Amino acid sequence: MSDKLNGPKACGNWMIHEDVKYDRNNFWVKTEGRIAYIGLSDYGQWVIGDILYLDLVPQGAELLKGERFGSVESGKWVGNLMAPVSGHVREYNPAVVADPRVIQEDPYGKGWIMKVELESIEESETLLDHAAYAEFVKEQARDAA
Amino acid sequence: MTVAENMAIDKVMLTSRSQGWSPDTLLFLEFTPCALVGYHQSVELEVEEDYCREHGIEVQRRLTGGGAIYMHEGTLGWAIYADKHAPGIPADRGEMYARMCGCVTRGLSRLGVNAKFRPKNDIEVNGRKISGTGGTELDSAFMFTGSLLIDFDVDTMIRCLKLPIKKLEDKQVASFRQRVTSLHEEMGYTPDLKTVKKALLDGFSEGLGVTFAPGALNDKELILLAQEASRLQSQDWIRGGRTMDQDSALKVSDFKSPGGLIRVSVLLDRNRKRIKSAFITGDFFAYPERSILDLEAFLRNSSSDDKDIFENIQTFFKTNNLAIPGVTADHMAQAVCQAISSSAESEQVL
Repeated sequence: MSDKLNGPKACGNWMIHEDVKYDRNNFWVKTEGRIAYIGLSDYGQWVIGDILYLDLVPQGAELLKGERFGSVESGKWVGNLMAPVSGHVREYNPAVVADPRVIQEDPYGKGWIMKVELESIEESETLLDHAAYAEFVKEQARDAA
Repeated sequence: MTVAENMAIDKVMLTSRSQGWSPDTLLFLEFTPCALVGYHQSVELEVEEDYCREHGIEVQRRLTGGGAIYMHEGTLGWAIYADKHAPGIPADRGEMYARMCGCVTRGLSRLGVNAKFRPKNDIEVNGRKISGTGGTELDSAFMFTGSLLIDFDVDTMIRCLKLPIKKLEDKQVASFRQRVTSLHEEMGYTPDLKTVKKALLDGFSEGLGVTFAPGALNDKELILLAQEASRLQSQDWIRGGRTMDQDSALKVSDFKSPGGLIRVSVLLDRNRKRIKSAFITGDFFAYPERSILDLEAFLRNSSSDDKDIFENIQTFFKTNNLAIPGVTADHMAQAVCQAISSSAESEQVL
């Protein structure tokens, strides 16, 4: 995984990258064949806030799209992390596991969360592209205002 | 209900609300003595287990975040379980905290207690904590919960939880006692539970603009409660491993500033590079008086890097117009950094 993804564009106060796909739980997914790198979008990390704890299913575990694969804690709030795709966890980013603040500092680069072997490439193609995700972010930000 | 059932009820009500089995609900919980760690915490690092065992204090894990707490007959749990898009519930979490805590302060005002919401998520009276809070979510439902201190046994709390106090010295214990208050202390007597529940109910009703009707667990909820309570009794749940390495070291140091001695005790998680909690005392004079308690709350879970500590404390002094004769923000930051870099009084690594 390269340190930085290409093509950042501002959407309100948040950056959105053009060469990854997104789900409605604010995860980005970058596929390289059957392998996908997954992380939180800039908007996603902002919504969560200062991440105090991150808890994840064991490496090798099966992920099912839309099912819980971990939890995150911020300001006494425990949120569920829902898988954006189905597959198997091949690797977690050790830097993020050691200190989740890396996600906030560089959500699309050094803050990637996990590497997954996809169950099907087609499933990841159903994710939102950057334009659709930008609309989604605007909608969410409007609702929260 | 047992302590495990009290913890299980959160999962039951979240499931029930998200499945549409129940309407938005306000629930009150009474407790027998127990030490409850936050969802991601480890029992070993937060609880004095020998003391709990010897004194019949049960240990459990909450579904919600935050730090370890002590609950007993002199405390009351309150919880709201609602749809995330329910009218009157702000989508922004910070605003939601403020709205929910505002309901509790409205309720307490009916008892003549002038409580306030202290961001991010405490309820306090003159800087002294009277209710902690926490929350979590499941599908379309969320819960926001708190622990109201009615006639609180501070001494037992100090002994059953691992706090930033060195060797339970009398002076430190007395000072620590000033960090929390209770309805008993504020009202001069212990109000009965029925009165407290009614006041909180009215506070939520007024604050959310809704009317509550009494209810009981339905059949589906009762079945789920039995299953969940059994799961939560297990050591797997109570002591389950966590992905992140955690650590807890007590660090204490005395810093001599022109305005007087600043004694800082911190519980530090060196792996996560966080100040878990801080306890600041000394012979300086702070104005406003409560500001040191607010500073301690501000430092909780903040970064333990020197640079961040200086920035955070400078920001705190500025935004709170904090004035301490002979003690600048930099002196305070130096005192905290000195404590952090001192050798540990006690430490535990997981």
